[in-house]
Amino acid sequence: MPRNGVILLVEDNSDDEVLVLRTLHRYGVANRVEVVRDGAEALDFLFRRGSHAGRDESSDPQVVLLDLKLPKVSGHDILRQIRADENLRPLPVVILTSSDEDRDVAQSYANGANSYVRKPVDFAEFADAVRQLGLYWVLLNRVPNGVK
Amino acid sequence: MVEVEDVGRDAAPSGGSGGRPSRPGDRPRALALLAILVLVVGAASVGGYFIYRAEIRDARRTAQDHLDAVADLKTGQIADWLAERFGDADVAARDPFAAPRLSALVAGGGTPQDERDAAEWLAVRQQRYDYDAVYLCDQQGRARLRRPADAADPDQVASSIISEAVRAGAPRMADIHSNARGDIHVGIAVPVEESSPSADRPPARLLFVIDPNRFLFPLVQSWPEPSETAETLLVRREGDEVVYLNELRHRRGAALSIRLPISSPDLPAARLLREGTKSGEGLDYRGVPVIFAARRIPGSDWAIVAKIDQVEAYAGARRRGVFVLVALAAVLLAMALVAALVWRSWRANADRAATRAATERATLAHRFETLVEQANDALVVADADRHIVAVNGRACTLYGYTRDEFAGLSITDLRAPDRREDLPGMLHHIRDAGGAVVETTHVRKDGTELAVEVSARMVDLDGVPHFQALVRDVSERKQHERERQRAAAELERLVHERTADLAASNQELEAFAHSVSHDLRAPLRAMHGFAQALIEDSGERLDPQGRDFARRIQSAGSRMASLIDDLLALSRVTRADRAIVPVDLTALTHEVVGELRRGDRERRVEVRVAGGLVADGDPRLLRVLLVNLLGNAWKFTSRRAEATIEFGAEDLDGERVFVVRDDGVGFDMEYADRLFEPFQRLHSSADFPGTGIGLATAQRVVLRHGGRIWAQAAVDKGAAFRFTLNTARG
Repeated sequence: MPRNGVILLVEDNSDDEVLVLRTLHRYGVANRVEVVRDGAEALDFLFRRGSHAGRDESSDPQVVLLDLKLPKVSGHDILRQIRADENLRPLPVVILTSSDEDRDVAQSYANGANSYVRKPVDFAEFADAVRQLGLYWVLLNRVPNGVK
Repeated sequence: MVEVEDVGRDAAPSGGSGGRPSRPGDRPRALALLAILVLVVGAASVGGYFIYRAEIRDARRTAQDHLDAVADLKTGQIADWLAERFGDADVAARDPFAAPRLSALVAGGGTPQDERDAAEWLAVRQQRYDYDAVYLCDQQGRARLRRPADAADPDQVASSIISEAVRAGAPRMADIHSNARGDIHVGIAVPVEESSPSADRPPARLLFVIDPNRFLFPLVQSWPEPSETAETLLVRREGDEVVYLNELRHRRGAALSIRLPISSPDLPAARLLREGTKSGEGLDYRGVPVIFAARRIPGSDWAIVAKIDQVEAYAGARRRGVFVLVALAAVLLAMALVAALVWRSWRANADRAATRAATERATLAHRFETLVEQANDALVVADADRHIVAVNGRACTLYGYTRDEFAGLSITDLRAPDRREDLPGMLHHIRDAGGAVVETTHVRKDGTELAVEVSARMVDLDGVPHFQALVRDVSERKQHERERQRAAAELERLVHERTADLAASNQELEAFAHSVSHDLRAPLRAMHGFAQALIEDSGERLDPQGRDFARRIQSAGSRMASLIDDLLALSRVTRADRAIVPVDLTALTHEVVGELRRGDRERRVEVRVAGGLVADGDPRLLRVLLVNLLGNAWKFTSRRAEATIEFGAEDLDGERVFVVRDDGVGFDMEYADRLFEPFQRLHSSADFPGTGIGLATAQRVVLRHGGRIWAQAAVDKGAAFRFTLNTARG
């Protein structure tokens, strides 16, 4: 398992993107975060095609933070495609949701989401989710004094 | 005119022949009555006849006894009288003092003194015994001396017996006879007997002439009691004749002048003289029926007949008979009258009953006719050739034909032209099956068509098979049917539409809720997140007021977020499908309370939860309910250092009521009715944070479970929220 794994953040809302990145940064998550801003691009990145064709394998994400409401291709569709792909299937996916709408949550789990975290991402909650996923290693590369 | 009429003909009289209806019970009843009458009359007649016969018999016997007595009496009297006369004559003849002198005188001797003495002697006898005349006669019968002195010479008959008496030496009677002058006499001649007769001197003779009218006839005729027809006759036989000697009651101058043949079969005298019949019934000399008693009178040729007319003898019996007859007749008449009255009463009763029955029948018939006439259905009767023979009034109004016009129509004409083909087959079917109900189209006189339901069957009218059709106008019904179908279709369409609308609305609502949860929250997240970032990242560069502002931005965003959350929760409660299962409310309460405790570990709250509370409901919705109610209790007891919250169940009029009770601040019951309205708050946000949607959500949950929820509270005395769940599992 490559250390210092890449986190893929799929988020179209720039405010949310800034806040998520700030939270991760503030709590010392030093992992590289790749950000894509619509569903189509997310798929391109994951499947290394389109604008991301020829992307270096080292940038393969270790975990995906996936917003559901996305332009072009919805988060649910992306999740389904990840789970449908043989190579990507084990990839942990944490759903970022702005509500606890039952339907979304239920559908997310049905599609194979590993966890979900309500936005704005509260670090404690996020850490909980990570712990549940057994992905604590993702955070190994924390900056020792995370608070800048 | 309301009767169902035979079209085109005069209405038949409805009451029949109009005569008195014959009653089957009359004849035997009359016969019985008549038989009784005949029997009574017969018995009475026979009885009456025998009574009458007995009466007549009694009367005859009485009369006969009477007559016998009379006859016997008279026979004795007459016999006595005769004997007396003979005795008298004998005494005179044997007078020893007179005899020699009388004989001497007749012989031509005697003195004038003797003659004078003899005359005196005769006179004494004549006067004393009331003889008509007394003669002293010689041997030749010539009267030598007579008294009264003017008496006529003895008649031939008398003279003839004088010599006879001399020959016999005893008195002889010259039977009743009439002399030349027509006087009726009886003569008794007797020879004078001397005690010492001298041979040379023939004895004188004495002749006594009696007028029978003086004593005998009255004796014969006298009757011991008054009677109209009773009479006694003195008769004698002369050769083949019966001679009536005395005067007859019923015929003047009859003495010696009536002679009847001895052979007369019924003549009483003839029967006595001929055959010795002494009593019985017969016909007298007048030919009148009589009862008689007849006797021969000893010492004479006479016979006496006592008789009485049967008419008189039987008068009493006949009168009684007549009386009985009349009485009988009266009784019979009375009986007949009674019988007649009884009969009349029977008849009258029967007539009344018959009249009443007839009236009732007529009324019933009239009602029935009226019903038929005014029936809602048209009635059409046609003969085997389909010619219409009768219709009711409804038929006229339905088709627009008059009765006369109907008479010229056949039932084919009533069918719409395009429906006439199947009529023969239909009629055939009706004939075979006896009836049929068919829906078809008929046509009115004006050519308009009408949908009808025809109920047809075969009926016998006066023994002739007819088609009878009840025609119901179903065009209205058809119209209604069509309208109903159209309405039903419309309704179904509407339901589909509404269902689709509803589905669309639901989808829209869900999309809206989804959109709200994602998009409305995004700016809030940014506000909150960046305010937080400002405080955290640039806090030391802001003065305290700047930091306070940033915090207020944060809390306002938070409030907005929770408002959104609550609203979404409320809409979820409304939209969510229910899955009713048994829910362990005790466990659920412990769970929720556990969450609350975890959220506020500082609080010291005693929570009492009743065990084993299970109710049917949707687990998620019930959880929402308990979260809200328990959360409320938790919140409003926050001022208490040690609070108590209870969850339990009570029984209220047989209904299970759940209750969440706290000892918190409570509220004023004046506002209790506004408690469950969304966004209604009874406390300021500053005192107790909240959105005012929780109780509305709780009420929504309870309502979705068919239950009720209500609150009871007082300020600073805590509050109790009670709710019921009335969910049928399924």
